[in-house]
Amino acid sequence: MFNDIICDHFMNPRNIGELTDADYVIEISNPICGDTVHMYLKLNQEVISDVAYRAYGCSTSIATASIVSEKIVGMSKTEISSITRSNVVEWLGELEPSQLHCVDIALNILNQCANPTKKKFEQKEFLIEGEGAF
Amino acid sequence: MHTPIYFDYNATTPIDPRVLEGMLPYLHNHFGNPSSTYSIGYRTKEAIEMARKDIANLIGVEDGNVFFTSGGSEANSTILKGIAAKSSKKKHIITSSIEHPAILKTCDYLRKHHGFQITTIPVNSAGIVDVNDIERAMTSQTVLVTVMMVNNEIGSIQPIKEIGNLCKKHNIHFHCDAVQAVGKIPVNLKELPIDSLSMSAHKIYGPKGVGCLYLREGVNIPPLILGGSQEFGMRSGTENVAGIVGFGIAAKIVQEDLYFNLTKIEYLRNLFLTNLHTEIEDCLINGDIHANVPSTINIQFSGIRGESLASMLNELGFCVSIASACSSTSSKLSHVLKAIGRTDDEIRSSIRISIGALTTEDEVNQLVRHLKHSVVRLRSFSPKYQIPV
Repeated sequence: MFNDIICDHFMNPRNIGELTDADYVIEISNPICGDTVHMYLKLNQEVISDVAYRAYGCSTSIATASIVSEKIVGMSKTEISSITRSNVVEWLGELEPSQLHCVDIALNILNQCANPTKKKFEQKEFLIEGEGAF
Repeated sequence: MHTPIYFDYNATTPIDPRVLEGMLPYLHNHFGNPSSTYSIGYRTKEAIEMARKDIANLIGVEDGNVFFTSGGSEANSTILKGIAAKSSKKKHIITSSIEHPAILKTCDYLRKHHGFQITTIPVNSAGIVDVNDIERAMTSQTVLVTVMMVNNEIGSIQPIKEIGNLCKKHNIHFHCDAVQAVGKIPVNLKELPIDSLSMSAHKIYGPKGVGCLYLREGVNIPPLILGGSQEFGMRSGTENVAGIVGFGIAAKIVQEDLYFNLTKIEYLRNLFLTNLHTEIEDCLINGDIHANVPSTINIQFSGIRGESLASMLNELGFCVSIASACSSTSSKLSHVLKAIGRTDDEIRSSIRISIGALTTEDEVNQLVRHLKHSVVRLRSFSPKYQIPV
């Protein structure tokens, strides 16, 4: 089942939606399970000033996108790049084995948030399990 | 926390209070070993024999041909491994692509470790095997055909009588896993040419940990479990007396209530479907409702994952089942939905709702209301669903 953090963010995801004036977009997809996150970023002098996303996937992956979105608002790209796997593990709380792939989803989102390049959704980037960005 | 509203009767059923009441004396006062020769042992032996009669009566067979096991899986393993152990020359088994893992994994075990060739017959889009396909697959080496009576995921009813007649004609043993059929549809072996059949108590409002294997008179197989020769030597181990007593009472009750429940569940299924199609867009039934038991409804909701839908419903107080395990690294998608031609995405977006004897009209209405809320909400999260304009 789900820990309280995941349950809260799944039932009440923060920042869900789209930003029409996004500076960058990021796209995370897992070709095996189909989890997909489309995230929109607004930056103000290298600092994330606003974020929104739409997520398709299991409840833990939807909650993960919500948790990450809440954490990164107000962070600079440099600060985001210093986030470690253990930080993410702490954010998500205790996970069951089948939910552990969401740590990689979070790391993948963070990796792209630290170096956003895309202005619009163009192509899918597939998450490689166990090869988190940090 | 409120008691959850239960829509997963195919997974298990709540124990009937009359069953529980009947079992309780065998968990304290009547503790004797049925194999003992004194009175308290004799009393439990008598209770077991009474249960055997009630279960035999439910499926229309002689009570001496019913052997208690720990459940449906043990019954299935007993017959499959038993037939295989007896067959030194013929090494071919025919089964269907939608069987329960208790059958499929045992077949795979016999293939890997005992040199059996397994032919898995496909099903049509309604989830039904074609009897002609089974006949075409038969060879001089075929020793066993095993096909379930009702599928657990989509509820499709198989042409058991025709398969049984075919096996009889070719003198091949026909085993039927009837775990999901008994208590849901009439199962009368006086009219069905079946050589062996498995059942489980907890699917019919009885206790978990008990089931049985029926063997037609004249079918002899070696036992799976050896020891003290209980169950006429077919299944050693001191009997689960309370469980068996509960199984017997449950069998009697489902037999009495069968047609009432069938009519009621069909009404509730139709109510659910009417409301579903009125309230929720872009949903599709997996399988053919007209070829199914009315208690099982498998549905896909485009643009969302069944797992997240079931989780949201769980948080809202409803129990439903999903067609794929949540895993990013392995494909644990339903083999049944695959067999009826569903794509991976369609399987991931599916849930199973199963209705039972205790389901009420109000619960069905509540489910549709919360299902609509959850589907609309999850679709609003999803980049894979375009909200119709």
